[in-house]
Amino acid sequence: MRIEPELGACSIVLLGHFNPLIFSPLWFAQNKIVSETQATDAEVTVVNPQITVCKIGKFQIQVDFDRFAADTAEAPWIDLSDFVTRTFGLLIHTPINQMGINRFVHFSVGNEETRNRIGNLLAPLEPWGEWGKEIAKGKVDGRRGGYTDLTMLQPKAPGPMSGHLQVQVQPSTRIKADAGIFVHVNDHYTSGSLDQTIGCERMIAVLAKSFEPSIRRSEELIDQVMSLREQI
Amino acid sequence: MTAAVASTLPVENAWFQPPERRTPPEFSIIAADFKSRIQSTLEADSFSRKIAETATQSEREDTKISENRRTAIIRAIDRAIISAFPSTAPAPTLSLEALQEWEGYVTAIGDEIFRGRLIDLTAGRKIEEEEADFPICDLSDDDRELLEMGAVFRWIIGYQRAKGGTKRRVSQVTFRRLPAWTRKDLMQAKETAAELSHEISWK
Repeated sequence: MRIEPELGACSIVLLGHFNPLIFSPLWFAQNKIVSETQATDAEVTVVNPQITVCKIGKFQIQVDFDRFAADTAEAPWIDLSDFVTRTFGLLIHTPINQMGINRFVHFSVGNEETRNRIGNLLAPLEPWGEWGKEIAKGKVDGRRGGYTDLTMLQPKAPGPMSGHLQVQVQPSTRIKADAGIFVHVNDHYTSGSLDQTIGCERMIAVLAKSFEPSIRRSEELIDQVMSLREQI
Repeated sequence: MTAAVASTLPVENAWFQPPERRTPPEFSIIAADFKSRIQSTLEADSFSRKIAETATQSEREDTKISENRRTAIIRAIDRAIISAFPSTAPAPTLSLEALQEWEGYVTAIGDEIFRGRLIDLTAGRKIEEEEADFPICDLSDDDRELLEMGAVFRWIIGYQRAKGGTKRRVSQVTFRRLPAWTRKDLMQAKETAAELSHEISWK
């Protein structure tokens, strides 16, 4: 990526039927998915039959009845894929029918003016007529108008594993001085209805095979947004 | 234009891009109390309108609402509470973005260093073209346990940022905890090997 991100992260979200109580740090350590030290040092918010929320090593985990989510802000991202692949390699009977590989980045474009010009490239004010002209006049009560959220979606070809690629661009709420842009890429996979899903072997095989190409593709798309700084 | 489909996105209150307006912390207590009250009400309703706290075990089992139905109701209420009282998970204290990344495997282990063959992933290489020595003392205790001949690792050079804004350049080696080979994987590997072997023509 041509601009070094100020904050980046990856997450894997799985949808299906889960038993939150399983996902305790002790279970991960006993199955050698994490080290004993990482399990001992884990920060457990809650582990109960309804929901599990904990941080083990560099992974933040949240599991409830129909959703498993794991994320990390520390590269190498492949560790996250290994963590999830290994976990569900042991829980192969867990029905999972949807998966999202998410890549997030906050980066600075230097100043607010540049960010606004990039915003105007992505979502021009001209088609909005007189209202667009009013927005373009500048700040009102310290707040500037303009686009707040832009989402682009590309469906994948139908097949046994369909889905879509979705890119979301927003002004960053994490970078100071209104100079930041937040880009989120969601690579979504679906294998059909949950009722007809048996286990997760196929979905996890897709994760193992697709994770790194997906992250590379996401970073290319993020880089495309970054390249807009050079076009203004 | 297209209708948004967003089912495997992180929850709205994720730390990645928190909303500008933060929820006051006391709201989490209100939310917990709110949830508890709703669950008590549902239980009371399911026990033939008896108050949940006074119901006996046998009465609890004699529910009018099936378990699945009750679970679905509780889940729906949970989601309503989360959206009504969003709380943002704390952002991680450290973040690390790689500037350069290699994958390698261990080819030799000495007393103080180990050697690895490397594939430059950042440059998009597919085969290992480089070799490097790494001090064993630089490994974390967890990674030292995984050091063995043939072990697969990642080496990254990048910027580590702390929550306070401190930024430093780091070089870090981490060993991969790879998924175990399944019987199916081994069968497929054998089949692939057999196909390749069959296709070789000796002259």
